[in-house]
Amino acid sequence: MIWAKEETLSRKEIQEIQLYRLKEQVAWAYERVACYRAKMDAIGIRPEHIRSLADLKNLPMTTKQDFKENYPFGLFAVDRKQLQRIHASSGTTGKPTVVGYTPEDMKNWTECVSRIACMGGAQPGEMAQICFGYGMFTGALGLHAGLENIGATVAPTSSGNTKKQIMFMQDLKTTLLVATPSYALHIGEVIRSMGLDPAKDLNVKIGLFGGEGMTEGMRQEMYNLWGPDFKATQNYGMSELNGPGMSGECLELCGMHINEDHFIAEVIDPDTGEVLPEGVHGELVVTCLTKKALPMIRYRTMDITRLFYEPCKCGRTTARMENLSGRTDDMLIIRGVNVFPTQIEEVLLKMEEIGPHYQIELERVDHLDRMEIKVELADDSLLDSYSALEALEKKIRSGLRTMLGLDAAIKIVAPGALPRFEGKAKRVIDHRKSMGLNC
Amino acid sequence: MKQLSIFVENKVGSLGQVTGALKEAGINLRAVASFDSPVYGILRIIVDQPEKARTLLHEKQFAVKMTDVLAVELQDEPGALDGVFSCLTEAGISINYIYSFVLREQADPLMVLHVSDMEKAAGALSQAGITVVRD
Repeated sequence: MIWAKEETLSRKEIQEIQLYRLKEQVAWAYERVACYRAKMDAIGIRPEHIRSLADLKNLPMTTKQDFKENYPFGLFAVDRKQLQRIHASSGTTGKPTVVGYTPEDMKNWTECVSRIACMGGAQPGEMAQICFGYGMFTGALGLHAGLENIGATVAPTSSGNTKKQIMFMQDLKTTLLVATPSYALHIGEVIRSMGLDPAKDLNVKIGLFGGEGMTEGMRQEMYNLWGPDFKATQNYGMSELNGPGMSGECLELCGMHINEDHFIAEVIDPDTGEVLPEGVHGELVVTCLTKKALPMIRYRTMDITRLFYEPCKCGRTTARMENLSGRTDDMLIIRGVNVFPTQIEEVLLKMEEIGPHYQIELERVDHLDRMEIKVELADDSLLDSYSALEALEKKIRSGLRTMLGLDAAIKIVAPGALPRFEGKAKRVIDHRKSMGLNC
Repeated sequence: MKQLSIFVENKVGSLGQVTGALKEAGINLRAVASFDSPVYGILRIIVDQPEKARTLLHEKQFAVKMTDVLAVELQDEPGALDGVFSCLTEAGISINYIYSFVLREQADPLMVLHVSDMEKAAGALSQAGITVVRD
């Protein structure tokens, strides 16, 4: 089912909408947000200089750093009292990235997510179980609203407590699952270990996956666990672009359809900033066309992909972006949570009991991410007893939990035991990559 | 008596790094204690030149702490250790850990104790006629 007529417009019609909205949006941002105005003034470009879509490339880009410098509300174009909702995601350091929505933004966001749900095979009447963590992250509430909007029944089971998830899945006769792909694999494995066959004993036919990339290997594993007819698609978004809903896979599985009446996608060379042609890999840069509370002009996503414009067999004519093939920065995705190593460093450097060197090791056990952080003991006085060392481990764990919302295993090692680097430090060892997992 | 506590990782050769460093410097080990632990351990040793050993191990990047411990002489007969424990129990002192000397030439066995109140324990033991060894 195709949710909106905007998904099947001709290229010319799409571009007309895009140009009209782009002009409006650039003027909106220029007039109301000091950061945009300053950047545009600095290179002598004004809203009236945007006469065609080709002029987009002349606009300055926006980055995560802009969020940091304007925390929490500096990039907003409306008064705080006009916001209906606030969400937040990881920042590169202590302060998160705060985003907000006017009632109109909420409507547009919901609309975009509804389309993505339908791309993945959802229909009115689905029994949808949302296993994303609810809270400040956009994933759960975004899918929640989009699915309600198409006429699905939503069970907000949130993440964790796998046995209970499975109980609900059986008792509610869940037909659609929202989760990170790795958590869906974990649930599938637990179901199998209980002697059940998801394809025969359950009603789950559709999986809408996000929060982290799903490789083709993971998709194959998904079919092995959930059955060959399971509809396993992934979708893309980030809080800076509302949340989920920027793009999603249709059942043809040939890239993620972009909601082009709300977003313009470009791919750039991350080093030069030059816009790259269709089909060439580079960093995705997104301009939001309808966001009123928090306009986003040429936001650098740091995600690597490429774009295709030919119409899809599914009937949609919107541009598609290939499944992500990496990042241009060092951001990690751990259990669906975006983590910057600088956030971890900030917590560790505050602790005087340990040295400044550390190592982050990531692996996937039973389809779930596991993070271990090695730190060097610096405070000799803790050698009085094992309980003092255990208390230190606990303190580090708790500091990281506050910062990241994630649990890490802490391993205290002897002073000097961790590698030293003369050039760029390589403090992250990601074993998930060597397992062929896209992270 | 001075004890050195050294942080050691639970992996092949980590204890040897400590003993190797001491050997090179001609430092003699008198007592050693380490308990099984999953990832790391605290190696506790008593040596003939504690200050020198501490400086040396620090230079070699070990995490080391010097602590006072009690060394009590035991008669080599049944109930000797029980006497020490009863004495401490009566005084309301708890024992954090205990280990024994490797060997003593022609002398009585020696037990090393770390307790909740070192001074009080030393007093209580001496009063009960148990020898507390200083060096």
